[in-house]
Amino acid sequence: MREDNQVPRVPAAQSVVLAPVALGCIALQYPSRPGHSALAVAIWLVSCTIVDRAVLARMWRPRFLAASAVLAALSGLLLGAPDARLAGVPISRAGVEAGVVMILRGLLIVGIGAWIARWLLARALVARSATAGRLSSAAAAAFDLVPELKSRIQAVRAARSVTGARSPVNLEQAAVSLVCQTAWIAEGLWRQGRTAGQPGEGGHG
Amino acid sequence: MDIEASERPPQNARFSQFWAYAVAFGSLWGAVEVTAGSFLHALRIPFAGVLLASLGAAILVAERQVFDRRGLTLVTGVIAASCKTLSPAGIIWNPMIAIVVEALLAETAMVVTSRSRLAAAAAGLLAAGWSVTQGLLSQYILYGWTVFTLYITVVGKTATWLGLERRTGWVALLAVLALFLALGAAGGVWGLRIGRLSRQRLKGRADA
Repeated sequence: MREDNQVPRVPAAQSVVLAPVALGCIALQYPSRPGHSALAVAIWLVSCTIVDRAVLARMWRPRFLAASAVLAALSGLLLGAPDARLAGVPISRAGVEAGVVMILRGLLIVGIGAWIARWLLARALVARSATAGRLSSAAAAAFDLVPELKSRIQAVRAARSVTGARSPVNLEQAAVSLVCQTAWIAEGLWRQGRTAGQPGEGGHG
Repeated sequence: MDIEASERPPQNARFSQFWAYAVAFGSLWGAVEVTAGSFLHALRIPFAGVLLASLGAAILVAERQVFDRRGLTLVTGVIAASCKTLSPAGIIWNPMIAIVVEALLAETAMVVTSRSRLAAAAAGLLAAGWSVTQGLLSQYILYGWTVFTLYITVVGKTATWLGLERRTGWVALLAVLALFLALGAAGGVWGLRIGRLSRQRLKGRADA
């Protein structure tokens, strides 16, 4: 489930409306019948269209839909005894039904998951700015370091491919070199904190 | 490699030694996820998550050999996952959850000692095991039990088509699962070795 980095605005009114709708939809699709599941998805889509359209955009996941369609087709072909034919291929109605229920259930879960993710992200970002300052600054510092470490990993890989040194021993030496460099970066970060005269920062050092 | 350059503090935040190690190794894990992750996903290697979990476990075990503090493994995982919230691609929940749970399991495996082969193997095994479990759990949440009935049928029919006993399909599946777990355990043990060698090199440099 993807979300934007900007703080999503999820008004409390939306949560008040969509939370019981989500619970109702989950309960409605519980008997695992295509009609019930289709109704549950329809109710969720209509509710999101009225209350929070951003969720609809996040429900559009072509890879998931393609994978679900393959599972439904396999289900029609393999589950249950064949009792019908589609384009000359023997299929099972019970299998097709089970496949349709799977797709609808997946769609509903993705939809509700997209809304929960939006809701969680909004609260997580507020909580992070309010209470988790150290973790936040640690994450930001780590994020700043990622490109540097990424380029070092790529340099190690490039050096191994240029020299043809692809033996396990050389891989191990490269890994040791990378771990040592990371440890030196950590020591550098720590020394920077000490020389800045703020030894109280952090609880475990 | 430019060792001196690596000692440059990359930005202006101030951290204790514990947090400094968590930040540095968390970003190393994040960088490995970016480089190896994109490489494995580009090749469409199935269960790439198991390989990434093994690499992650190796990093976590190696970190504890260099700087051994309880809780460091979990915090490193949380920071590595937090890196993903700041990524321009946006938050991707599945790998974030995987990273945090794998770190939690590795921390649990190393709660008594982080210096033994058994603990390192357990850390890797649990991380790889979670990678498989999370995939199955996601499928169950999305599609329900029917999807497993379908997979079981596919395994049975494939075995029949190949002229094998039905049981053989299950044996093959269990063998693949055992291979994944062994890969994770090997990652943990490799991390232990890398960490020990790194500790020696760092100590040698400090003595010099």
